Amino acid sequence: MKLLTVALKDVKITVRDREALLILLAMPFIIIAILGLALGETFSGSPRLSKYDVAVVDKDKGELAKLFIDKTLKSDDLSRLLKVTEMTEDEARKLVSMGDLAAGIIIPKGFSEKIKRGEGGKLEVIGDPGQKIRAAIVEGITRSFARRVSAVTIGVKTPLNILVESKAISPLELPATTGLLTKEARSAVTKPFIRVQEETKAAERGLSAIQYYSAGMAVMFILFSAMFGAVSLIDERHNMTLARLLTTPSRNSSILGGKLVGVFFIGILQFSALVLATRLMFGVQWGNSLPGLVVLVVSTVLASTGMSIFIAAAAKTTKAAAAMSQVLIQGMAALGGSMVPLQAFPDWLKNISQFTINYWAMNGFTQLMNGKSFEVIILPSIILLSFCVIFLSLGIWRFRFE
Amino acid sequence: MNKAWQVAKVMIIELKRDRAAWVSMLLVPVLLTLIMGVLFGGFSSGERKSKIPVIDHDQSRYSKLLIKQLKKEPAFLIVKGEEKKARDDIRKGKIAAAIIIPDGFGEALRQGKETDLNVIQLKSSGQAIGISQIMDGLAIRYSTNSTTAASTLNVLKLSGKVFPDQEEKNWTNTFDASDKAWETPPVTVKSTSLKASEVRGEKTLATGFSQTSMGFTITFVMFMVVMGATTLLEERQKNTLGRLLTTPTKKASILSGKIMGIFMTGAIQAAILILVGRFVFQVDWGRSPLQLLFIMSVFIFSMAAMGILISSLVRTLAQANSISPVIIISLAMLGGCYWPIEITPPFMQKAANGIPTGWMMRGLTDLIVRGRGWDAVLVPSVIIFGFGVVFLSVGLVFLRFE
Repeated sequence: MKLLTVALKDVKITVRDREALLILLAMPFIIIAILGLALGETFSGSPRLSKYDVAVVDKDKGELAKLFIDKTLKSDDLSRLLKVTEMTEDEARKLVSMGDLAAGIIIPKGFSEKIKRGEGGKLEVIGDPGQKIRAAIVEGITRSFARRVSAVTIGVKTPLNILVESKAISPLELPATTGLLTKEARSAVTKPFIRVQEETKAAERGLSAIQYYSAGMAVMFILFSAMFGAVSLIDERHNMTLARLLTTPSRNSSILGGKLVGVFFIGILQFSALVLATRLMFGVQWGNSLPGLVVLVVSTVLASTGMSIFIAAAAKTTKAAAAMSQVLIQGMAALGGSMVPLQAFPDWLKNISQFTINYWAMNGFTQLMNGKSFEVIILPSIILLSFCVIFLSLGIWRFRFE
Repeated sequence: MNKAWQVAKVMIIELKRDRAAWVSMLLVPVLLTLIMGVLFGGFSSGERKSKIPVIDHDQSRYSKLLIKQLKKEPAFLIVKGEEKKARDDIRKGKIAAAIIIPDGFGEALRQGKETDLNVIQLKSSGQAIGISQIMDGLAIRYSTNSTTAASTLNVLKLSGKVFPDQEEKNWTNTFDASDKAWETPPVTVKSTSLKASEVRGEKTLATGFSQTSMGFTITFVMFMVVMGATTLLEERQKNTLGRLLTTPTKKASILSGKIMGIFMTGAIQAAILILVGRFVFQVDWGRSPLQLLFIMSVFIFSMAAMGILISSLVRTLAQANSISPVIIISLAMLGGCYWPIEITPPFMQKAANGIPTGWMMRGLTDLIVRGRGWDAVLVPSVIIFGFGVVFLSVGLVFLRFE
């Protein structure tokens, strides 16, 4: 009973503390909104960049340059992404180097003429190092065009060499054969009979950014409430209120237990509020399994409660506790997928990720969001509970009341 | 002035003793920079090989040749795979893509019939985009080779220069000759990153690393300076500020001393971070130390002012400690410290212009990545300074000493 009294007192203090509420609830909500807005499009499919300007320097003025500019760069497909402006090389270099343009394409003088004669050519792409992704896309487009031109050149030159060498055609037949070969090579390029079929799979079913980060930030900010818990414990130790409580007939265990139950309650309230708020405001789906969600939330909050006593035991001052929490929270959030989706992690880093609370919580939440049923959260919950047990034992073992 | 200097000096001495601050100021930044560098490093450059399984259902001479060529791609580690497992791994997000060469590929190539190359890829994976481009290139290469071989054989047959039993050999020879021509394609693309001053000669780590290091350094400088500034609250709580006021020291001296102290401790920490980044992670901080120092100083001033503003608006240090990270993280995200701003939607890019971090990232990108000079830092510095002045004025109005 005393345990509950202590716990409820802590919950009451937190709920009345407007600043604490602001931090535990409003801030994650704001961050989820920012992340959802900033990355929403990146999550749903390949990064859809907003339309940007590209310089083209046409020193060739020939047939191929025209083909490239009008039929490729200004094609319906690409004109949704690129706004092509023709300018002089000096202008292009200046604008790209200032970062005003992401990239420029330079088609050298006599390019078409040289290709026609069966010689090679070199296109140049200049990119702004400050806009690498955009520049890389322009480079990719140019390379693809270069490849197609190469294909025609090779497709004409190779047979001609062989045919001339084996005297299969007379010099008189050369122009006609060249014409025929060019036509065939072109069709091989415009309609390659090898088609690359792309089959795109979302890892499980794709989550939207706002969905992913609702889980990510909720898990991360639960850890902040653990930090609050730790700081409050140290504060009480510092202010000697813990010591004073000990002079009353309450046992050590009820006092510490009460504090921890308080942290747990606050965490549950916080998480539930975040789930509800993201559901109502952003329409985030937290899955179809309510029992699964409940068990996973409880396990996550328990793990974070364990962390709070661990920090309170390990740190001597509130400042040290705050610093330690920062290391733990930021480190676990970054490693555990709260900040960057785990799909982007290389294998060896994924192995390290498994040592974080965030990894297992995110693992469970994202699977639930993908519409999986209760079973998927069993393993994550067990591991989260183990985190709780380990932190709790270490924390209780080392905790000093005075 | 002398007294202000004494006040500032005390803060630096305290910093030296404060182990907690050292942990949060070195460990977290280094850890996070490392994690993010690893994650985003692979985004724009391929210094990390990702595993791509190839499933060869065809087992012909040509499928083997294709695999041999794929293996030359520096960014990917091509391994033999099994279709079911590959699909499973993609679904789980373990690998980015897999390539399937269907049965009959070689035969179709020989006949000039349509055939597929299948790429199964993970949604929104940067690596998957790379592999598609490579496959597109190979599809054109093989289509051309096959067309070339077929048209050569046709002409030879018409002119009676080939015996029926040599047709097969002739086709293969032409195919190989054409394929060999691709080793040095006639049309190439030269790609250059333009810097305003081309002075970079030294080898640096992957460029993705630099961008994230920059963003994270800014974020951590914010952490240090803002959290450092909030120690004002600690003094208020301990009433040491009140005590100082009873001495003949003027309020103005104390305040200016405090601001100086906050600024200098922040500057020391930022300097350490930048140096660690430079010498441990070989982050390219550009070749304009003077301009870097200038804009960093302005930024530190502005963030110190923000810290004072926060201190003036909250009641306890604990509140400041919890509210600051959230403000800092939001500013970092909106300003483009965590991910390249170019991947966000246009209105988010505009929002970055309304906050100091956005201007700081812009200034640093212009200065370091684009290699520009004073012109790059001047406008951002003035704006960031303006933010600082506003923060400081509002902060001083609300700041209470006791």
